[in-house]
Amino acid sequence: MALQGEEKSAQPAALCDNRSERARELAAQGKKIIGYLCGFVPPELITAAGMVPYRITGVMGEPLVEALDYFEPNACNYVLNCFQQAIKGRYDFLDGIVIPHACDTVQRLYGLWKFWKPPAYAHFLNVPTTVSPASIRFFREELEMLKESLESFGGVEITDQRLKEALSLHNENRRLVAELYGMRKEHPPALTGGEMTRLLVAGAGIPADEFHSLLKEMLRSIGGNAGSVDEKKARVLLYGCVMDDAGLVDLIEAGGGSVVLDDTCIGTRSFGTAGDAGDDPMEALCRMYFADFLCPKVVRSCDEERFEYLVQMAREYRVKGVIGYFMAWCDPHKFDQPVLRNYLEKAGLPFLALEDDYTLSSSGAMQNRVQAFLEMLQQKD
Amino acid sequence: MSEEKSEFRKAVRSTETARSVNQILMDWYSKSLLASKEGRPVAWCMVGAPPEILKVFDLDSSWPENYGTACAARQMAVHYMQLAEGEGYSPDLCSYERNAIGYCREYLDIGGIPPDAPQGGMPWPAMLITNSTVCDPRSKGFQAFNAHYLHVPMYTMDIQMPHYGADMQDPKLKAHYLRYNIDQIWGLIRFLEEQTGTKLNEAALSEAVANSLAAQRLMWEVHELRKAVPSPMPSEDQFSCIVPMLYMAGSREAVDFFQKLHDEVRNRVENRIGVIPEEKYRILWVGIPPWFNMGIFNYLESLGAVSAMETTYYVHAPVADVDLSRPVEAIAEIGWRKASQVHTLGAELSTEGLFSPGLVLKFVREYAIDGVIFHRVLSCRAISFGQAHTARRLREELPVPVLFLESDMADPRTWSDSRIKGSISAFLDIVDTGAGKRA
Ligand code: SF4
Ligand code: SF4
Ligand code: SF4
Repeated sequence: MALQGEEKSAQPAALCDNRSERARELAAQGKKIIGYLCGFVPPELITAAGMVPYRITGVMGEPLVEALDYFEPNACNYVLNCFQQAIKGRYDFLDGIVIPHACDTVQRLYGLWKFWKPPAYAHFLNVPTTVSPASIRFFREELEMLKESLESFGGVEITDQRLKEALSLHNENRRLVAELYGMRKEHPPALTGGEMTRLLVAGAGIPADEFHSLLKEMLRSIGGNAGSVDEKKARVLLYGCVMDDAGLVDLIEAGGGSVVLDDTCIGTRSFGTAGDAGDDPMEALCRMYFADFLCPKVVRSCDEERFEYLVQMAREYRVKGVIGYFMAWCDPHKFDQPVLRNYLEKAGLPFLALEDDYTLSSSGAMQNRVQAFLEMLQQKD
Repeated sequence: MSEEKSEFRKAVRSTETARSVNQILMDWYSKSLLASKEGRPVAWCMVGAPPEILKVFDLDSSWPENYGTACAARQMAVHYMQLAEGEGYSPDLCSYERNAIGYCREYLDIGGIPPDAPQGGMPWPAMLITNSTVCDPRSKGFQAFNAHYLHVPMYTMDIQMPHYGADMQDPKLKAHYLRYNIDQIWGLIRFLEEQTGTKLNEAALSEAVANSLAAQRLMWEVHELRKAVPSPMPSEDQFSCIVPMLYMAGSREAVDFFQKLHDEVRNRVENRIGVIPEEKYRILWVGIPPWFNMGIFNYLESLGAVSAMETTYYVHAPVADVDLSRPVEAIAEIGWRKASQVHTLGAELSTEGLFSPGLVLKFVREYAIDGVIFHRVLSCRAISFGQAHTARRLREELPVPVLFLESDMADPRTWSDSRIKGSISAFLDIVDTGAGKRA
């Protein structure tokens, strides 16, 4: 079969491999670049302030050396890796950072980054642990404070009009991403998981309008083409925290799987809920980035039904199994793991849990386990 | 590593008051077991849930963190943790939580309290009360074992504080936080009213908060007395004394306990009664202790080193002039003021300010410390976090020998006597070269 993938835009992959290049260019032109991580920080506010939101990522596989002089080794290696990039000066092009109170480790990153590598602008966005009317109000006030601080740093007023425009631009991107995801409901899917991951990672490092063009270009290049993926590949959902590197997706796809859906940050978790700005854009942000946003750090309920959304997603995308990617020393995801496994298995969805330290260095062993899992899925029906 | 029997299992405390904690704890467990037997509800709580409020509702409680320490000390924790690991809970996860998870598993398997459970066991809870201070496992762990085994009503009290660099004097910021924290405390009260069918007695809560402040003041004064040379009270004693502080705050008994401790320590200072006859080195202990091998402190003492002070469970300077007639607001205000103290010292590590590098620097100076031991507990990131950062700051600002001991608070599988002894010996050699300077 001819690989339509070859005809698809190569731009996302190139942008993903060298993802800070565009931001550096813009910084050199005098644009302010604001780094952020996690799904609680609305890039819309940064865009509305006339600055460029830049998703902070690590360099997967890079051994931790410098970071360990500041951070304990028994902490999430993804976060340590991001910090190492900062210490090495690779984030010197950022004018500022916004770090939320996501998990413990991300929270710690704020203080350490600000202490050892103080940027011109640093803002901590606090995030409540439970969802209630009071916590939604608290988060909204946090967003108001973020807005004010961005205004004073950027020297601009974020009017409702500006914010609505930013929201509609980001929403439009969300809509296009959803369209691309939708194309993977079909079998074979129109683009691979690897392509999708690279596109999203690339998009998280460029201005929203440029991402918009990139998405359009991707949609145009796919056109009405049928999927490029081998029909026999087992359709899987990838679950995890952050997926800022396509390495694991490639590994799964090389092993006979097709990652047609994910529940990760940068992936669906950040694109799943398109907010309607309505009359109150701050309310829309509050809903999108907190009330409806599913990060396991926020304790919603103790019912195992809290994972029902995953089962629904899996059904919609006709997924045969779920692969979970768990970072060593990650509390929020690892506490969920056994209950999640039970729930998925009860729903007839086999679950494979992979543990890693953000290196994929045990990829040989991982590959074997993935392959065995995929074979089992293929034989399932 | 160690299935070998460690030589450090037993610890001897220096003060009579700390030695009395064993009995207090036994009585505490008996009381909640009795409550459960008589059909009264028992809550499982994580530290951070205000004991003052539980007390006012006359609610008996068990604390999985404390139970983790009890199981560790009685060498039962590995058994429970292995059960939890068998259920898919990673060995990375907080060993207190894993201990409680394994306990739940066994309880369900045998249909009741395991006969060999330390302290007679924790009675099955009617409700869970947790909170978000300090760490994720506190809320995530309870969520997990409630979803997996318990299926009882749960309340998570979410107390938030600003992070490093915040202006704690900013009234707008304070109003933002206090409004939320007060709501969360009221949320707990409403939850308890519903669960127990009784209304809050505000006057009784005011009294409990007053007791709590009185106990904290005494505890803080004990901390101050411990600046004396030779050290009148070592860390292993303080670690026992957290029991009345963390679980019994608000009660008259806790005030009496700390008064007794205060009198005893003052007497020791006045009469120059030290922990050991010849104190050669004064150590600052940073981190949770290894509850399964508390004898490590006696081992240090046998080498002339006394752990004179510790950062964990530190009670900050007492707050005064809080309006106790509105006790819920008072609890929130006290929390804010304590956090402000930490921000003044430097709270670059976390919002809770539980762990401040500034505090380590302050203690090194004020307690005439010759060396700092950082206990890096593998399964608790929250309290280990920041040790590397703090060590770096020490190196740059206040050179003092530093040792990292890696093990755990409740998981003895992380421990090896020979490794720990080797590190301590090398460390004390370095300390020795600088110790003379103190005098
Ligand atoms: S899931 Fe992970 S990346 Fe996403 S918000 Fe939570 S902690 Fe951050
Ligand atoms: S993998 Fe876990 S520890 Fe790391 S950032 Fe995500 S939630 Fe936090
Ligand atoms: S602070 Fe550490 S020991 Fe305590 S509950 Fe949290 S993870 Fe466990």
